Amino acid sequence: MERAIYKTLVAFVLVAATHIILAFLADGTTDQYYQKFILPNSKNLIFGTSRASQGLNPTVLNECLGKQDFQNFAFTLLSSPFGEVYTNAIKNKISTIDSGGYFIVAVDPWSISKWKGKSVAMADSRSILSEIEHFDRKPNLEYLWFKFSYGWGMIAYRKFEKFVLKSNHRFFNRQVNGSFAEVNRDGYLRVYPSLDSSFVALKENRTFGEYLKKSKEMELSSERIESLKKLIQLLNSKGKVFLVRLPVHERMYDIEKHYMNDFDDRILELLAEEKYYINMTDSIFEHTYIDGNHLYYESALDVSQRLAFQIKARRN
Amino acid sequence: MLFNSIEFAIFLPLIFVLYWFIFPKNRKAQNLLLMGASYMFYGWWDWRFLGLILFSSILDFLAGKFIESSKRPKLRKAALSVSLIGNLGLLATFKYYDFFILSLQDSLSVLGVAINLRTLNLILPVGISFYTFQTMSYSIDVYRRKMNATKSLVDFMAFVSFFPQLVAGPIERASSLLPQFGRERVFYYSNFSKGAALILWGLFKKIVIADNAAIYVNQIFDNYELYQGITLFIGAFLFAFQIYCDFSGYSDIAIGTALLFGFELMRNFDYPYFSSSISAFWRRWHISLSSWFRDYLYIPLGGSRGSGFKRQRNILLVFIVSGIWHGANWTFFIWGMLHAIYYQLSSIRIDNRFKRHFMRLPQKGKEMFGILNTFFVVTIAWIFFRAPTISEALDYVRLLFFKGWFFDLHVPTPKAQFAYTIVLLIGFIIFEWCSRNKEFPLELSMYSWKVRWSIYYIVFLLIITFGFYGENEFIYFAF
Repeated sequence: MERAIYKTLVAFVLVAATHIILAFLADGTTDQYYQKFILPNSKNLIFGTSRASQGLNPTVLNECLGKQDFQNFAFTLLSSPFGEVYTNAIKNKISTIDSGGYFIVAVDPWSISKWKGKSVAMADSRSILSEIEHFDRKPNLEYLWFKFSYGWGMIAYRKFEKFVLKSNHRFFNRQVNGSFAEVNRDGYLRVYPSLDSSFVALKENRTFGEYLKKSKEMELSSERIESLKKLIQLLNSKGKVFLVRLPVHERMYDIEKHYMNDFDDRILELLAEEKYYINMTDSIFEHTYIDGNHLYYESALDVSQRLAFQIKARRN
Repeated sequence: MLFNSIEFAIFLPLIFVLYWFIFPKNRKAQNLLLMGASYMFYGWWDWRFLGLILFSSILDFLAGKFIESSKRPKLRKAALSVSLIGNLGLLATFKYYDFFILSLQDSLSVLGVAINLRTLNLILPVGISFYTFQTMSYSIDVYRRKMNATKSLVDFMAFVSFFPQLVAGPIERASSLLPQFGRERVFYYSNFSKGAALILWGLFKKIVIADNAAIYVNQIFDNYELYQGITLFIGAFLFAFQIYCDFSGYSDIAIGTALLFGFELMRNFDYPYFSSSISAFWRRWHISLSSWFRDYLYIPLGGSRGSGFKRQRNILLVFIVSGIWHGANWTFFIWGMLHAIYYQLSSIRIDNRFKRHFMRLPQKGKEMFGILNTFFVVTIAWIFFRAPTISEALDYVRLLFFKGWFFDLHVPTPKAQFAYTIVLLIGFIIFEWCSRNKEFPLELSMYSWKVRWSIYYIVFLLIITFGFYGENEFIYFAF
């Protein structure tokens, strides 16, 4: 029996040590969220869904606005539509800030909508942010234990995979026939998209079909609007808030216009002054999109720069 | 409770500590603990169905006592009949009633007779086919005077509900497992280390091979009309390994877990895909069920005695019952039929030019040909096992062989995961091939501790890297 206990303890230590090492290896390559859960609190933040996560680059904003610590704290439509769960995560993230912050909140018709006949609370319980208490710990064991849906060995494997994919971009991209992604140290989700135009077309069609379906199955949520209103009030008490509507593919924009024609008016109603709403959809034809919904990297840099200039012009 | 769940990872060490440290020399308390733990294990899924296990246990316990004490053959037979009717009645009600009603309605509608019988729409209780067969083996063995009826209800209830093998086998014979509940337990380190290695290997098979294969199996089988040739063959090939790794993985974990508590369960798989004939395959696949049917159905029917016709009839019957045992669907019936045909064809002696050329091949070549041939026909039969209807299975086979260019491969997505699934599967086949003379591949007692622990560690790393960590039940839970 003593031998069995001894060997069990050795195995347990080995298993625990392996997991601890792997936890320290976790970073932006781990998945499309983890890096955002380990960044220190910041005064300058970007909020929104995947459009903002891939479309607003903190490094560009820092350069143009003379800041140092812009962070992208935007997730996905599933995880960060406006609602109690996202607001609580944001409260947590800005808890140490008193004033002087810059907050960019990306909005679109989907992030203030809900599925018809389903409650917001039910939908948001599936968010990656739900039931997470800490967003600034490295390693974030809470996230890895409750939210990371793979074995922790995948952390090391993903690191290796991304290294190979990045170093042989063209060849491997064709092999995997699609995008792979990595979160930068500032929380920006960098997507390396497929170079195959037929694949892009396939993805675009899939996205448009998906959103067309959403437009029939979703509706404006007063609960989400209320949450967004409260979020703006909260952020206003700690700094300047700019709401931004990012450009999307023209077909996607048409779907959105058809779905919620008065979206811009609804957003303006939430703001004290019109100047804090920056609608960038007038430049939709000037950018490239990876799937009709998300900006291509180069376009994201351009949009971030344009946004920074607009903020500069309107901040006073 | 699933073996591949956090709940079980907490449950198992807890019961182990209570069993060996709190009641180390108290057999009765240990059996009571195992019984309680087993009911908890099963009730975790749905406590309402505990009543069925309790019913089956008490019925067979009383039937066994009555059969043993009764002197008159008619009464003995009556008691056995009560046990068989009770157990088969449970199966018929919960598993087959709706199937027979719907099949009857369909058959009559073909004849122009429209009837509308009520179906029960009952949930299939997990593992019902396993524990009813296990308890029936007890009544039959007592009736045949192969064993004495047990006097302890607790021992018997612990035997019926023994959690390592309760929901998906191996289906233990009462004559083998029940006496183990009557013996004092002694802790052997060799049992502990073998049990732990079996659990590790079972987990690897389940969550690395079976669950990754399942992603592509589902994708290909659910959209089979989009594919052709080799892609469909890959779908069937992956399913062959999914079901093998899923089920044998469960058996390995069950055998390993039982060993931790000092119980020896029967071996359920013996590298079945390395069989060079169908008869060998059936001696090595789901051994506990095949041997159950052999002992309690095939031999009582007359076995291989009597005329050739009777023998063929008995074989056909056993395979069909075995097919239907797996589920209430005609696809399982066809699957059983196919195996019966394979089995009968393999017993026909042929003498032609091909055979004479074949006999000149070296032994290794003949063996390899036999293995590939057996694997191929078994894989084709799996299509009927996996497809939801016979017409879809037939369509799948048609597209596999007759649509377009066979080698036109359409790789399913995600492609990177598909690539490592195939690499892992090939590695797994090679590792099993090299270990085929051992009881299981992680039986490494002949190597130094450094080699042993290195291999265990690599398997562990593969599990935490490529394992699937969603909620994936074992396939055989449905049977």
